[in-house]
Amino acid sequence: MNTQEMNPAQPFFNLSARWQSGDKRQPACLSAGCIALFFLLLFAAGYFMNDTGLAVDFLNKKIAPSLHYPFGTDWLGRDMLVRTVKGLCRSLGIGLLAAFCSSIISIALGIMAATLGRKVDLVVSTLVNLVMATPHLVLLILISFACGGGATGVIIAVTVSHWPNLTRIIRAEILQLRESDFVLLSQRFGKTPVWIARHHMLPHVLPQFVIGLILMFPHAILHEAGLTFLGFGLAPHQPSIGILLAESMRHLSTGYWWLAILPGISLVFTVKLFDILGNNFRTILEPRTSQE
Amino acid sequence: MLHAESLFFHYDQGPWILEDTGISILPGEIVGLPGPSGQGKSTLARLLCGYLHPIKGQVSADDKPLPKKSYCPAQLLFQHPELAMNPRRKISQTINEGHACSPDTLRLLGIHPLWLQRYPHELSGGELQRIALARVMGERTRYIVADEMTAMLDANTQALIWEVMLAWARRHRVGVLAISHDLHLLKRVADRIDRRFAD
Repeated sequence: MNTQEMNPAQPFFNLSARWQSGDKRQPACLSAGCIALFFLLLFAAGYFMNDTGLAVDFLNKKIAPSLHYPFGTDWLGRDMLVRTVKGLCRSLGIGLLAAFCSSIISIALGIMAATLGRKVDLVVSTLVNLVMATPHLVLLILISFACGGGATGVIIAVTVSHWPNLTRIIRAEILQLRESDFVLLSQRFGKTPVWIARHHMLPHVLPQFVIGLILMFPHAILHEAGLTFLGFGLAPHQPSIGILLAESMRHLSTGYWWLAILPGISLVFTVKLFDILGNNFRTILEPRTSQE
Repeated sequence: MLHAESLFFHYDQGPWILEDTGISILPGEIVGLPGPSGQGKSTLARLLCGYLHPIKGQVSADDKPLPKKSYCPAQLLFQHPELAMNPRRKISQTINEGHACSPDTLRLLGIHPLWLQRYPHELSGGELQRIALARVMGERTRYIVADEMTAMLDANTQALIWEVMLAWARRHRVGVLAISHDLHLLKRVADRIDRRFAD
């Protein structure tokens, strides 16, 4: 599995040698760990942070970023750092939940299309094409509006519109595996379909699924923010990134740059972290890169 | 006896590839099947091992039709071993999939114990083909169809693989169908040469 088993002569505590040997797995694990820690801290901060920052305070309104208020305050004197962290947590939570639900639809439909015969495959493929052919934002607005908006509306809309890509990947992967020589050979060894699914299919499909899920997070979060920004998403009394950005639009032209720039950068930063996390997982899970 | 009688086969909508083809291999017999590509040799190999099912006709091993769900007594060796191994499973898992591979087999084929902890992409074609052979050298294998088994390998590995397989086949009375375009090789290894595809 790792370098020590390959070269028994090499002492396992010699970390620097393992780094120099070009094992890409170590840095990938480290950076994935750091990112996970960051999200943990973010959620902890969002949970334990005092709500006083959200209170209206006209004495301290419209303060530019300073040491006391790193993200500044808005036109009602609310602390933008508190609002950004709380908003990010809320947006992330909703995005994660929606992406998770969506990925469950993906894997169920992908497996059904690949294993239940041509008719089911045709129905699933038509559904995939239908959803993919509709402009994303239009679909999101329609569904969110039809579900009455709010968090439920956003989650349902993002769930319903984000599954087709992953479904296509999983369907293609399973179809390819079913025809591969090593699966046919396993059948000739008298292995049961369940054994083959567990030992031959799962090691291929699971990484695709996990990476697809992680890479779906940023989409879901961005669409959640976009939907809220346009006013079809979350209610405005609780902070979320979409709300912050929408509100700041009215104040941008009057020179309050920090209201839009800082929450915007935090959103881009978070989304980019998910992207890095997805790529690290790919490196860790792929035998070809994990051992080189 | 691995026996096929009046096999008819074509792929989806294509022309007939095999028409009224029959072949028999006795236990312990090494049969050579030479011929240029595109004649249906590999199709016949896949039919004999149950990878494809004939449109008409039947394949039987020791007077029983090939089982669909249990261990198939006729096993196929591929030209490209890397395609016949799951790239995400370690060699130790691959090699023990059909039967528990004995240390003697590993030693005979020159398979280093350290290879077992690796993945297929870390080994060469010759090393993988030796592992593919070790994988089918179990007690339940009664017939082996070797479809261009050593076509991609260097002379040393080729000699080693054939030597080990033939000795094992003779000792356990396993029938072998050796398919190759290399007539010289078949003349060296086979007891009998079937020239139906050669002319």
